[in-house]
Amino acid sequence: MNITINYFGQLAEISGSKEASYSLEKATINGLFEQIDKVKPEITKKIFAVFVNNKKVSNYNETLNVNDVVCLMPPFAGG
Amino acid sequence: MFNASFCRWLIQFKEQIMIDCKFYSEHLPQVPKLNKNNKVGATAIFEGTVRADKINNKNVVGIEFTTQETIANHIASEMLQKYAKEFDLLDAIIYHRTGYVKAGEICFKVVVNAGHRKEAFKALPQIVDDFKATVPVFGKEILEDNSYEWKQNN
Repeated sequence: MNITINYFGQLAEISGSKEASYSLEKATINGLFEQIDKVKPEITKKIFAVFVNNKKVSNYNETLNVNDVVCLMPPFAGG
Repeated sequence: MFNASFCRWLIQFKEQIMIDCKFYSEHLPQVPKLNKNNKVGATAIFEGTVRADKINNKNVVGIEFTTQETIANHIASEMLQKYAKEFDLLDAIIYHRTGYVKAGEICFKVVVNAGHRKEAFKALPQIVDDFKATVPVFGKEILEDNSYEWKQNN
């Protein structure tokens, strides 16, 4: 399954792009992390929060669907 | 001229709690003066300013802020509603800058209105801390030689 994700802040900088597509063997967030690690392992070390369809996800074994909007975020710095 | 149900609706509308989180790419505006039929007895305001910290012996000259506004607004609004209920707030408003904010400029403003000072004083620091911990805003600290460091809240 192919999935498109959005990177923010430092993650976009490390990735070199605000958007990236990955082909997943396992359609879960952990499966996505495994694919990212194959390309740029420094990205997953900096991930602080994952949002799927604008909702924060804490269970990384949750299933991803092809049209899901996935946002990967580094540590927050507001305020 | 107006029937009773319209008048009741008008009173409820006027007394609605104002919950608001907005991002601005320019200077933060003044928070509008809100009058809940003279029920507001205390207004507590927090303003966060970009500090000219020293990093690696270089001065921070500004911070470049970015966010995912849809998610940030959603999280902040839910958070404000929770605190409004817990502390009987009459209004709870957050303004945050995006883009480049120079050292010395205000980047973050929280305003709470309550009937009494105790509720306003209790709510304000919790809203500030919760925002910093849970709302996705990203910051790049720009140093005097144009190098930068990614900011991270504690």
